[in-house]
Amino acid sequence: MNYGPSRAFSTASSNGLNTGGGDYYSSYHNPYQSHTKTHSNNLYDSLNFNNHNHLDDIVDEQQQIDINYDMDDSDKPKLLMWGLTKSGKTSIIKLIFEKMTAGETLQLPETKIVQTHELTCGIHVRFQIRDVPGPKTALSDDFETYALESTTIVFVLDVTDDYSDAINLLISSVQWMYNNGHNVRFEVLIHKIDGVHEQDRLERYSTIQQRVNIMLHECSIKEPVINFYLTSIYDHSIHEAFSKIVQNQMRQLRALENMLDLVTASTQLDKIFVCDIYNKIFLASDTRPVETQLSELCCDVVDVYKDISSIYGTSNSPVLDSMSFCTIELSIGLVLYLKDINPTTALICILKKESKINEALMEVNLNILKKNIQELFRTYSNTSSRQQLNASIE
Amino acid sequence: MDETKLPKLFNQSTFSYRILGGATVLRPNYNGNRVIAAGQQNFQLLAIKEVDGTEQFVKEHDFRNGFRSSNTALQPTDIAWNPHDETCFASASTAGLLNIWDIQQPILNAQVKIHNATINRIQFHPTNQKVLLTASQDGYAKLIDFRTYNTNKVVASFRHVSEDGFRDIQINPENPFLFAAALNDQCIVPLWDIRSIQTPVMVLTTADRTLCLAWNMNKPYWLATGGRDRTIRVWNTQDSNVRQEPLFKVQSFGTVSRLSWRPSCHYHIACSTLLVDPRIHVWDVRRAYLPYASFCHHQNTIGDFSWRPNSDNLLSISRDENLVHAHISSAIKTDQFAPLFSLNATSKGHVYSAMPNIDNDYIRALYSEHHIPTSFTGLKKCYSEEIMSTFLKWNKTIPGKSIVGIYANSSIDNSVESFHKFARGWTFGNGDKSSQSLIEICDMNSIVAEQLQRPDLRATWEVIKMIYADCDGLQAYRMHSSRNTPSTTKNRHISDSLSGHRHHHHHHHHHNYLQHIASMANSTEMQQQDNESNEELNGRKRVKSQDQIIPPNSQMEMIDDADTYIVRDVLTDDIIFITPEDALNIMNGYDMLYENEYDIDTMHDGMPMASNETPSIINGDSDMNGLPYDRVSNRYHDAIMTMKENEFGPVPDFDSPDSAMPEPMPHMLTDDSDKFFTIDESYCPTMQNHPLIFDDVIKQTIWYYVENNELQVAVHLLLALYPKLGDRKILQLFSAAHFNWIKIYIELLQKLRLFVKAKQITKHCLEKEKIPLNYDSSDYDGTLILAAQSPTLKRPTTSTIPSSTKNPSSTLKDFMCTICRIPCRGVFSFCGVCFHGGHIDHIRTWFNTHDECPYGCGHRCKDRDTQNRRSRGISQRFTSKSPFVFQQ
Repeated sequence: MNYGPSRAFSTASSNGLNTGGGDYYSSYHNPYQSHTKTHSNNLYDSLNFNNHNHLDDIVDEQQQIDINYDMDDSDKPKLLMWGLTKSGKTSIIKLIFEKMTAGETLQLPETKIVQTHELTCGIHVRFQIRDVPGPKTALSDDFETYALESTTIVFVLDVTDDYSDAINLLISSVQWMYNNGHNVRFEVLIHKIDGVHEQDRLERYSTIQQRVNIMLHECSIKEPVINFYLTSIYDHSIHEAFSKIVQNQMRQLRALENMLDLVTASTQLDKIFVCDIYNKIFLASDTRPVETQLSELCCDVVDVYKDISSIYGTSNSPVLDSMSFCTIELSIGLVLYLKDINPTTALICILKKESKINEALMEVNLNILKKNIQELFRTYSNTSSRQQLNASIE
Repeated sequence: MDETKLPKLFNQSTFSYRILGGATVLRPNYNGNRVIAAGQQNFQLLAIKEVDGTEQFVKEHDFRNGFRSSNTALQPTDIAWNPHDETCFASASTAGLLNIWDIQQPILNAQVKIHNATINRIQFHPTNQKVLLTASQDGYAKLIDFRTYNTNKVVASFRHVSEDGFRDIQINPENPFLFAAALNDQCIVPLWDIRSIQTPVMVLTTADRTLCLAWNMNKPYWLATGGRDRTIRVWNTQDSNVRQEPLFKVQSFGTVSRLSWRPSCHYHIACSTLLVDPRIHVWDVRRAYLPYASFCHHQNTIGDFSWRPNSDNLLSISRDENLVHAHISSAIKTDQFAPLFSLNATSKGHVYSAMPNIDNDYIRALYSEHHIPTSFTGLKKCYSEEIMSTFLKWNKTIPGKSIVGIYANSSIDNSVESFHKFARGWTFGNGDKSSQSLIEICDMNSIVAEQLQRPDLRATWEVIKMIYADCDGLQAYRMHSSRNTPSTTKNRHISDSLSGHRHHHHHHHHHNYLQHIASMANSTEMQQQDNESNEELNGRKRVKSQDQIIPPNSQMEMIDDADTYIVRDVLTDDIIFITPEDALNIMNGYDMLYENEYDIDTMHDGMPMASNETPSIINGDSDMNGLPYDRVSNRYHDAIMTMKENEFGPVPDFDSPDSAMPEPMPHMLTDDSDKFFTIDESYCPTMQNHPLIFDDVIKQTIWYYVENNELQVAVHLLLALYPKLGDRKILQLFSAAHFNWIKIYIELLQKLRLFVKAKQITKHCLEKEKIPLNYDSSDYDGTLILAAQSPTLKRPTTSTIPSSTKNPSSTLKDFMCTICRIPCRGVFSFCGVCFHGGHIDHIRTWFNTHDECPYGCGHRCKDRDTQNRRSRGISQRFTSKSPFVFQQ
């Protein structure tokens, strides 16, 4: 196995340094820094840094963090997309992270070679997604190569098809990982659920879940970590599922949730989301139960905010800056409040419209929260990069 | 149970206590004499004590006073009382700490770190006081045993394969080894055996994320789950079939956030919802569409609630900072406000009725509720076989009568342009007799009317469609309109008439369907009706304001439920119903004994008195209007409540021999669980078809338009309805006058140079409908149009306009200004009657000083309005204030 991730990425960052940031793929339209590296099995080709966009202070600042952060490549969560050919792996990535519409994804060709996407949610949550061709087209050891270094395997299961093959593949993958001593997390997306009749969905879901659990039990795999989601690219469910997957990658999640819980309780808010406004992935929310419609509403708030700021904002200022906020009152008596954390991440609060809303308290608390969230991410990135440095010295 | 405390359980008083905001946990102890309210700013121990003869909350201790140091311990996320030691309780914290408290000292006895994240739920083991189960956000449920010497006391930890956080857990009251769990983002409810941590013994699949669950105390294998899909499901956990359907399914009004079974009735479950609803509904799981009772004591979202053990009292806290203790009798029972009888007539002659079955248990229960001996003949007569069968066999024709249509349409556009537009836009079909084509015509024409800003005409077309269109369309419309009726009626400023009339003992009130028909009434009558309908609206509002029972959303829920059309009919548009007076009238031979006010009022109560929404209580015949509903309902509501409690005695433990209650509850107040009926059982819905005759309505409508200078409308209505009504009927209705109207209309079209349209209509009349117009096909040649001229229309000079269809340009040249004698070009104006006119400026100047025609024909063009307005008057249309403008 020649491919060394750290090497690959140090090249990437040095490339970024050499060109003085000019080549850095970063714009307001696409600030999630998706460095797409295409490489076949044992060699990687040129790096595709395809955009040349103006930069300003914020991006510079961002880049500073990036540089620090890029060093700890091995520490970064790595997701592996896996599943049968034509089950929708590439579509999901394109839809969420590259703003492709659901219709366009239908025209995507079969993926032939392994693609690695460096993705960022917010600024600090970064991870790699490896998009592997399905088992029919892939070279036999593709999966084995990448699976071993992955932290999570996202298994896409086309529910409209005959899914027994997919289940067998899933079981053999879990078994293989288990035999090799890697008990990684499996996230099973029961995908294309829009093609299944409303009434049958749950039955499919429970059938698949049961079959997998029984088969895993037969293979005597103890304590597997496997999670199932019903998803479709035509609605909110894929974002919701991917939010959950990303959240599971974040080590800061518990701390974040605790912080949000404290703030909701003390400020009498109904719900807080921390949301990446570009790909609408919720990085965290407080632990109160929430209605689906509300989280979809939050996505709508983000859309409204983005649209308005792209129309009325000045052309060279980012969509979110340190003064950004937005309040939307709904006729059902709810207030949606959006506030920035950093240029790509926003806090979205939901509160009931009451006479006794203490705005001052809310503002103070949210500012403290904002500061603490920034602090939290910075500490994590610093400690991890320090660890990385130590590791490299050793 | 402490015997001395028992009398308290009978206390049904409602009392409240002010707490600080943000309380989310409320736990009464197992005796029901102490309660802990906790949350972000609260951690109080309250006792429920009798002070000065009334029960109230007394603060015993505020834990936040003593312990300033450890902050997280003072913001508990959950509280659990020890079932065996009433001085001991445990609290959970956001930091994963478990705290054990002693209320006698009161001190914090122990603090153990169990989890890495918030503990969402803790519960003591029901039989072993040293064992406790915790459920946390970090994905683990842990069994704690204080007898072990481990530092963290954990003896077993449970984890689901998804590693999702635990939202709720509950140990089965019967089998203390079994517990159910609700997970954060999973559509499944796993059930574990405490002795085997490996895999759940059973997994239930719910449709959406489950947030809360509750074991039934009396039916220990019943598990209720509630979650994001707003549904409460009751599962049979003895059934190991993985694909089992829930035993009961109840659609709630919002995301279910907490469930609790009523201790005294195993069919009743109380539920509170997230965010939207400040009420706690008690559902009877057998009746999924109407709550059994609703506690409406709070103004804001419910934080937590709990039944006071072994009683019918509910304790609840809310964001409105109140802790309320309320008995179920203070909750509002919606079904008591639904009318017993309900009838509904549609414009197609369907009469729907819903009434209690004669001689069923519900009726008998009703009897006893009202202290009426079953031998009482009056009420019995009301439900008697004969009356029922008379009603069922009653098949007389119902003449459609309701007539209103008040349009404050001040700006009716009388101009020729609008006449042109209507003439071009309106269609009259192709002689097809099917109702489908009539629907199309009506749709088309109403759209045109809407576009031309004549909502009144649009309404007319829509009513025609409603009356004569086929059943299916009507049904669809009904479904639709039953949801939207209030708003549409309001928008159109139409009020329905009070034309209720008696037949047999029913009041009819044709409501939505006939209301748009044009009015025959003169303006004073209209005014009157307007007043009446205003009163009616006020009355409706009055009733509404008294009625806080059914909120709009519950209404919607019920309508949406496709299975309960009876309820829908009862609640939304019950139009006809029996008034108590009617009921009394027919009870000719009823006993003198009951001829006193009390019983009459009792019967009011049993009768349909207040429906919850809409216009159903509007009653045409005035006698009912004087009845103050609030008086009746308020007064007897209470009376009934108390009566009922005494009436039914203790509940026999009818189908739970394996009751899990530690001891029977002999002193418990009974509920009427065995007297409970779903509406389906107790009502017999019937549907009948009666022919409804609308001929009169149509006749009046068309005459109305003819007399109000809207001949165009009248003719188009006539043409559209021709295939439906048929020659003979039309002849009978209009006694040949309609031939004239059509002819005049054709003539008008020709005068206004709409020759194509005129010919279309002529052809349509002659060929499709066989209407004998008095001229033959050679009359089409425009020059001979005078032969078909109506005798009533005076035309002194031959008009130059229709003189030639072959050479229209020549006619333009021919029109000479009567003042300057120069041929007119472009815009000019002329009188619609004498057809003299000229350049606009000239004519305007002339009419500033004169009233007569400038040509000298003697016609008084200007003051035409004063002339015989009510006769034919078509030309009035063009005279409005001055001679109209004609565009060339």
